[in-house]
Amino acid sequence: MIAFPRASYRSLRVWQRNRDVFFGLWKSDALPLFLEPLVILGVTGLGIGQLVDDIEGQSYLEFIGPGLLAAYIMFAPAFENSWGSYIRMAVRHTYDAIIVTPLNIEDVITGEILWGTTRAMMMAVLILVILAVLGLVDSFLAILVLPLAALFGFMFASLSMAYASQAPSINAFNFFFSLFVYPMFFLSGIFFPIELLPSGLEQFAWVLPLTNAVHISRHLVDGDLVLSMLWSVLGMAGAAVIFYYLALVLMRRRLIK
Amino acid sequence: MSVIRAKSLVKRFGELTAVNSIDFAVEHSECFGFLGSNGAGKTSTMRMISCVSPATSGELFVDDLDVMTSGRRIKAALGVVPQEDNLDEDLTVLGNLLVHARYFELPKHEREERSKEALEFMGLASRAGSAIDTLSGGMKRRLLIARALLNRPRVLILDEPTTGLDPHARHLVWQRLIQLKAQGTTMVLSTHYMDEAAYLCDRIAIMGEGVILTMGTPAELVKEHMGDEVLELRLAPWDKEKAMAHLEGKVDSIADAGDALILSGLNGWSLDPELGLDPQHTSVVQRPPNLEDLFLRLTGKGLEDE
Repeated sequence: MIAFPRASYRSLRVWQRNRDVFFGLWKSDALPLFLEPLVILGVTGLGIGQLVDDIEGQSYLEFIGPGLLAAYIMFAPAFENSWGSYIRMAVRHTYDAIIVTPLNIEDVITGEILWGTTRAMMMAVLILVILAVLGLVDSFLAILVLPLAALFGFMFASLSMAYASQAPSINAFNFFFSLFVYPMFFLSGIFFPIELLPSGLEQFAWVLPLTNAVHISRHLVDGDLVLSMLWSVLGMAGAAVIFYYLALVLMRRRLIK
Repeated sequence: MSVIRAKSLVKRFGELTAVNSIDFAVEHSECFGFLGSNGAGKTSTMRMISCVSPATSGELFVDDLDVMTSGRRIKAALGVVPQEDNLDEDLTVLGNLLVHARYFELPKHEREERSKEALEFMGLASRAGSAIDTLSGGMKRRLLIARALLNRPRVLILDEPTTGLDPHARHLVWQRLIQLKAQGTTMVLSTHYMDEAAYLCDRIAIMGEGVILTMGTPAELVKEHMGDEVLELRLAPWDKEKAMAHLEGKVDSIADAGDALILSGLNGWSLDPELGLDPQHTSVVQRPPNLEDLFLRLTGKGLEDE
């Protein structure tokens, strides 16, 4: 195994580029950003919620709130670092334009991942505020959702980036979403406790990153710390290191020839 | 002191050898051109100089820095104009420059000053706020050059700077490049346009299949390889074989331009009417040789009689 590839502080310049573009397009991006989680919360909480009894002593809206929070932390980098990064890399050749400056490909990839992480954190703040306004936050521990968003966001941004490095065409992201992201969305204990799954599938669900994020988020928002959260955090940190490494190595292999 | 030095430089992509052990040096303030057909190894060479493609073997120094170990420092002093547009469509014309300047760690006021200066110089000042997709091909190319000037590069690398441009846009680009050259910017460019090479370059290297076939000033090379005069023999396709057989051994070289044969080193040869070439399709012009003749001769499919 070769030494861990090194990125420099210059990755901040790529982060700044993405920030400038994001806030330049802010007006067209902001509305859907707000609306989608509100719609999902409204439809599932108020609609399906009427058909569902309390789960573990919580109303359905209370139950799914922290779960959706974790899911939206994931969705931000899942889009930003899959389609978004792929288009910048392969369609618009933005990376090619940057690596002829003092930045190396590792700086570019790291900047992209850090921006995806930032988007995850922005999303966490947004949803947390919505949940608080709806009176669904029970504890000040909920603020720890921000470091969770940093870790889970970084991990998922790296994973998406590693996937993008292997994508032969933009169509490859259809698989990413329809076979990975969306099934995970429904299997990770957001909408029902995963204990209800058949036992093999329940074990499998615990391997999914989102299940662990939902687990941590739910306990933070409810203000009830349990030891198993630590295992989830450690697993996530391990996955973050592995996928970040893969993203750097595989992107270099793809782009530097 | 040479700004760029290459020795036994090799680039392989798996089985394919794109650059096969080349040596060259680019001097301060000169414009050095790589000429060749597609696949001759020009772009691979330029990418190695730009430190975005590692050399397989050999030596390559830019400003006395090794490309293998000092990529960042070398890149800080280079301006690179790519063959394909890679402008940032998410940003405006000015936004492209401001963001690019930040990659070189320039302070804010400097970024703004230089970006405006570069737009002014490339004749794009009135388009500062435009979206990239509203620019014409020529404007995009000029913006790419403006972008490459932001760090005040010691060496400007231009990969086919006018490919795909209409004649007017081409001349606009040439004008600016000539101006930069007059200001002392060292330039390395690749092209497959002979007029571009003859117009802009102090020295050229003609490449074919990964090697440098010949190198020198355009005028010297033409004189050395083609002499003072060539004969351009236009003829019907069905007469070509007959004419070639007849010419074999009588002139120094025959370059096949497709619809014509370019003959050099005539040794007193003249067209024999007895040969019976189709008179309707045959014409003979005696003229001074140009770079295109030389290029055809060197990169032709082994038609030389040497």
